[in-house]
Amino acid sequence: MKKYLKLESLCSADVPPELDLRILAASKMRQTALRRRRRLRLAAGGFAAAAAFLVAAGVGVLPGLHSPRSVREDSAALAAMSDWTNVEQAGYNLASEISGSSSFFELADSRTNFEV
Amino acid sequence: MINDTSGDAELICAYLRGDGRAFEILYHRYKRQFYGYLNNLLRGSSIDPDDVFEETWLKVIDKLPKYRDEGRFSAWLFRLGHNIFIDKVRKNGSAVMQSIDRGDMPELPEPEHRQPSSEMENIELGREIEKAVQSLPAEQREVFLLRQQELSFKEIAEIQNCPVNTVLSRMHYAVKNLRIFLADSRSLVK
Repeated sequence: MKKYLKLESLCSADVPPELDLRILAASKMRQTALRRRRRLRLAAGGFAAAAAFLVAAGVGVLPGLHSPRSVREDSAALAAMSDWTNVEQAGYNLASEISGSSSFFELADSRTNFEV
Repeated sequence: MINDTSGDAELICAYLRGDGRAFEILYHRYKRQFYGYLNNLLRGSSIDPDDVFEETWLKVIDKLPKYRDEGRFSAWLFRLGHNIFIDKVRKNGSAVMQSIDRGDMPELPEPEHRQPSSEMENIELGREIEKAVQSLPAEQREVFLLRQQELSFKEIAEIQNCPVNTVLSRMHYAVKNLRIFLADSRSLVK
């Protein structure tokens, strides 16, 4: 760069202290706002992560927390149903057995009466 | 860890990371230069240099998060100041420009060559030069003052939003006019 004569009075001047104070105060205010915004962003990020975790848990991406309980419930319900079927079957068997016995006895009675 | 010798970009990064001291260092580094420049640029105009100074620094504070380290911070600072000054000129109308561009340069022959380095020590001459600078047309004065701040012609061209050749021409005429003015004032003293 070509050298030019430099005059101090053309290059610099003292800044009034009140201007200094105002500008530095403004920078501090801005910094506080920046910090608050950064904190909010962090909080929002944490909230979003927590929400994503909950959603993931809900849809079963984390099977350890969700599936076993459901399977247990399902198998208990199935067992109950199968128990009921057994009872029903037993009832049906018993009913047919009784009706079979009674018809056998009726037949035996009528044969006795015929022979007499 | 930042200190007074840290670079501008480093200070800006530190400020954006939350270090309030970084801005103070940056501000104290450039405030006297910028204030001196504005005072000389706006002397005699109806625009208050304090207002431009404060508005510029507030804009710096506001725009620092978007600042890109593509050039010197000082050039960026002077560009913001220039834009605020131009906005104020537009708001206040042409009266401001007329008061800045007095255009009262006397048409005198060029003086003989001197040895300015020895003469610059003379306070009287310093005052004469200051007075002469005030008499320059606004654009020439701005180029001359920005050169005093050691900005390159390219940076000044970006600030004034014009080709480098225009800036070179303005500087040429500024120096020429200063010579004429000084020769005139010297001849009047004699």
